[in-house]
Amino acid sequence: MLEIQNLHVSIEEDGTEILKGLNLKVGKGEVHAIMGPNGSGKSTLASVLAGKDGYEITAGSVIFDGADLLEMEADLRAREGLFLAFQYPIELPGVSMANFLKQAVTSVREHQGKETLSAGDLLKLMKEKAALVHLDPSLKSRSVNEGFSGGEKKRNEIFQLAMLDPKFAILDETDSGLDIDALRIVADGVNSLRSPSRSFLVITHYQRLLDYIVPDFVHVLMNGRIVMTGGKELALELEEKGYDWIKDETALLA
Amino acid sequence: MSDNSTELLHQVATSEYKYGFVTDIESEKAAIGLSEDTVRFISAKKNEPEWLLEWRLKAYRHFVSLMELGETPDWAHLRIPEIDFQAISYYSAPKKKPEYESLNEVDPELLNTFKRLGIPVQEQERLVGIVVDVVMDSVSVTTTFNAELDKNGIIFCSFGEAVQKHPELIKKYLGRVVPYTDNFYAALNSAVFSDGSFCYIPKGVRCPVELSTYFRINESGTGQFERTLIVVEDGSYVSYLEGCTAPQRDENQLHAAVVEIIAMDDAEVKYSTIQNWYPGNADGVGGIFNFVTKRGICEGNRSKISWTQLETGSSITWKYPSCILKGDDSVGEFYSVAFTKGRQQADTGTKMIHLGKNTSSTIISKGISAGNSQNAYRGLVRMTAGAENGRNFSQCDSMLLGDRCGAHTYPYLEILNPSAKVEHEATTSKVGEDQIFYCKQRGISEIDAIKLIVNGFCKEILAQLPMEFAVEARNLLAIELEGSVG
Amino acid sequence: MSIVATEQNQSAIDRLSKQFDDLVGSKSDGQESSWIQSRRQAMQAFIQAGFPKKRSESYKYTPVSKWIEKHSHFANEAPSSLFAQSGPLPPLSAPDSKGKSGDSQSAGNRATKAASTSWKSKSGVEIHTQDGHISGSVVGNVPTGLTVCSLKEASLKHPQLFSAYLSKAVVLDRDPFAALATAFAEDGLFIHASESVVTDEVISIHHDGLRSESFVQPRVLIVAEKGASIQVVEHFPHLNAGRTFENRVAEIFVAAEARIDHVLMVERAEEALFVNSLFVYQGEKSYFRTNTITLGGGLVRHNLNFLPNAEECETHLHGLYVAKGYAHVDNHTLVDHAKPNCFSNEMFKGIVTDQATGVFNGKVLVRQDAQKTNAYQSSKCIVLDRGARTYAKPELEIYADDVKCSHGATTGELDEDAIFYLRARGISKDAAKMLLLEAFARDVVDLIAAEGVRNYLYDRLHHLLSVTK
Repeated sequence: MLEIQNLHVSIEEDGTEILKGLNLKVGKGEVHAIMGPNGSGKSTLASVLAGKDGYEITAGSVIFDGADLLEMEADLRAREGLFLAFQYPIELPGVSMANFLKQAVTSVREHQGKETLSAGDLLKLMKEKAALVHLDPSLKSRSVNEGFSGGEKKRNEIFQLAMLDPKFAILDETDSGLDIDALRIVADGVNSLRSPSRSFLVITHYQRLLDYIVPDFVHVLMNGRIVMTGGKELALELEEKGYDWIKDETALLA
Repeated sequence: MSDNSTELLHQVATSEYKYGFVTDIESEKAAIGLSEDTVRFISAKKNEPEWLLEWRLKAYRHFVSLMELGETPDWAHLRIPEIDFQAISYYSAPKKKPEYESLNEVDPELLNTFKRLGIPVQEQERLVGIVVDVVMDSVSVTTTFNAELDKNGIIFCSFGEAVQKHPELIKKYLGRVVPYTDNFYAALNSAVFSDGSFCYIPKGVRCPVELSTYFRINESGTGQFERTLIVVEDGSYVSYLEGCTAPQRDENQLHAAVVEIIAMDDAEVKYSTIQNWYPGNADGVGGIFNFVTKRGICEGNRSKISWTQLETGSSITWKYPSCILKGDDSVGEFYSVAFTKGRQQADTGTKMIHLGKNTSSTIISKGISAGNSQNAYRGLVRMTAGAENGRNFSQCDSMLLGDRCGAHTYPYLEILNPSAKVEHEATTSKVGEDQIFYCKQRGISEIDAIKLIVNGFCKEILAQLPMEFAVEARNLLAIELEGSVG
Repeated sequence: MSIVATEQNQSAIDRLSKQFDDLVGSKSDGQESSWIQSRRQAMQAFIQAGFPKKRSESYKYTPVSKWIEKHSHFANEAPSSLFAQSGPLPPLSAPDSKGKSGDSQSAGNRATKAASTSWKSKSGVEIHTQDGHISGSVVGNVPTGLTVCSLKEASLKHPQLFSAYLSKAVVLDRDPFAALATAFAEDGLFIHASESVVTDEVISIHHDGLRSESFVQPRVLIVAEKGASIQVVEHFPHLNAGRTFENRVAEIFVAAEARIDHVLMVERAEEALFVNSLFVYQGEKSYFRTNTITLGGGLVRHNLNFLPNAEECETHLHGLYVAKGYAHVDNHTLVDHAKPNCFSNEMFKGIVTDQATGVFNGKVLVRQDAQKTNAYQSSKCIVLDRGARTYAKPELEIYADDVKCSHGATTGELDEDAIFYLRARGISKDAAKMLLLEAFARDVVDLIAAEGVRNYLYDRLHHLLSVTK
């Protein structure tokens, strides 16, 4: 589904290198978690995969479903089925959720050769998917993310994930700022969207999200590289021992 | 924003102006030039009473004195080429003055014009209940008939007809809010105005339909100088709409209108404008000079006047729909979206003059500049010494699309009463990169994202428009944006 | 009335023109210094513009012609009296804190201090002026690399610096007062910090000598070379000098990576006409801050012009005014962003009482090249009495798209809810008002770096505001 090879990324403005030769392979239907301390490059990875401006890719490649992901514009990546749940969802004042989703869903479905939804069907779908994350259906007339509480914003991201039905979803620190109830709602939503044809990349600082969204693989990202890979138990080990332990471990290896 | 989109933004003013046709109707024009004789000619054509001719002549003489002193308004952030007032024809009317019993008798060319303007007259009359007055060049050509207006004692007719049928009302109110001495263009209008609309809502009547006027400049070499007078008596309400279009011509044409509104005790007037005069081509050739004086007075206590405008057309716009809040507890509102592209220039805003006690005003202005255009908000809030507990809130936001345009804000806040509170806020920004990225991440193209965000930016203003107009406004804005962002 | 004023203004201009000719000669002899040449240019600019007309947009709310008429005696002064040579020198030590009216030292036509106080920093460099010229010697330890002297002296001792900077920041056609002051700039004050000279010592300038009914056009030139950092505090205390007319120009150059912290306090008498034109020119990564405080004067007009003419400049522009009686205080500011990545922050606060008038006109101009500009402006005014009036004209003129600019302006009474809250805690209404007014004003004073100045201003504000209500 997604194969990252030797990815080097710097910040365009000042040339600071953030990712320093990252390798990662995510198969179809798999759930991978990426964990790492602050500043290790987790969010940069999410932004680069989604096609955000401001980064320079100095080396490496990303193949997404057989195509060169890095050659695509951000909207094309989305239409090809890559979804990013933002750590900090953006507010769009005056733009209603209904109008926003209509445009998004239509663009994506058109690109994928699926039939366009009628206004009625779209509303029905919105209602159905909003229920997955316990969002009030009245949200359709609200401006995108404007006036949403922290928890609502995160649930809104998962709601949009459900609406756009992507092949590959990146959750960037979706657990940050959520209380335990909200976390469970978000995780339930995500779990209900797990399927053999959809892969997930779950980026998180803490292990607690992985209690709910149980990953197939856990990777540790440090200093711009994946330094350790294991099963779900690796997350627990990290929770217990912290990241310093790995620092020592990898230092020994190096 | 990516280079790609900057490039897109640079392709400004390439959209087609879809109202740029000319209607082939025989018309009668006054000889070119401005003199007392021109004024007399127009007045005679309109078969006007002596007092009105005298008023026009006084206005003319005042205009001439201003010309001699060189007192053309020069304070706006506009570059106005010198206008040769002797090179304009001040009167143009379809040759046969139409007296229609029903729309079936209307010149098919005219009806065709309405269709192309997007005003299905019959449809609107039947389905929506809008009553439309159409002013082509200088003369009102048709007022659609609505029995319901008659029943309620509402007068809605061309200005010329009102002078004939209701001279006492015209005499009482004409120039009451905008005297001919008010400013340069108001003086010119007062001297040579040839038609317009008159609307009178008697006491205690809530006008059951939207009243609407469409203004169209058709002839070349003419100016349009219409006058609108709206009087709303105690406890009454009216919603009034106007739309404006003109053909594509290489010359600049002058539109200098005056609108006066008088609202008595507990009266409410909602005045909405969609201004889409021809803006000139991408190089700034041609287009309408839209120099308009619009002002309402909240004469009575608890009265309210609300201006809403969507300004997308004209080569130069100089326009400040204003409210004089004379009655206690009266309310003034100004909601505006001004969109400029190509080489357009707009200097528009409002004046809120607080005279009465507990008066309040709200100003919300959204300016969007693209291409090589200049877009300025200019607004005055004056709390006079008697404006006890006066309140004003102003919010002026500007958005820049592209790096060759300008967005400017010039508020004037004059507070002469210690109990008055005035708050003004303004921001200038471009469409947020993070907002565009968010939309793109959901599969929405960059252009659609910009349209979406700009529409969101204007939403609270467009929401003020009456329903039928709001749809038209959104479509218009979408077309304009289309031309500006690719 | 307006015609009379115009005629009066015109005859004043004619007399000034004659005075200028008497001063420097009506025609150039071809051997003039560049200074004289630039003054001649300035005089031309002034004659062309004249005093601001009634309908002038930039003097819309400030009727200068009326004041010029009232002060028309100024143009009758013999030109020689523009010099500082005549008259005794003022005392060098600061007057005692309470200041006695009718000071026994008053002699001849020299003005004396009124109820106003002065402030004194514990250390630092102290300068006094008489009619805009340095009087006596510079007090305190002048750090190495710092030059403080008269402009005349600078023209002789540092001719290169002098010609490199003098009149280079002033824009003659922006304001006729600046042009006039440039024309009549016979001498003035020169402060120069050489490269990398950093000092925490405050350079305080006490403009505490002014003849009665005098017309002076003092000039100040302040330069901080690359990486230098200085603090300058200028004080124009209350003087019993009658209808004085001070028309001053200050030019400030902040070179790359340099920093200047500037404070200006005006507390002149109620008949005084005071025009202050400030031109600040900034280099790359430089920092400039000014606090312009107006607590006295009849007609006070500040023309504050800022040109951050390089990338990554930081400009802070704070102001406070308390206008009482019939005072008219006008702050007119222009921040002209010409280069990318600059930041400016402007905050003005005013308290207007009695029959006084407060005017704020602030323009933020962002030119096409000035991408990534962040510019903020805020103006807040409290009106206390019927008869008091305020005018605000905050302007944004933006020609670059990738910018963040905003302004806000509010005018109103004291917050009734806040007064109620305080009263509910047992505080009297007057005390509550006082508390809120002081808090309002302190916001600006708190931003002044020099502690001595802050404390002085807290005292002055307390005094002024408690007299108010």
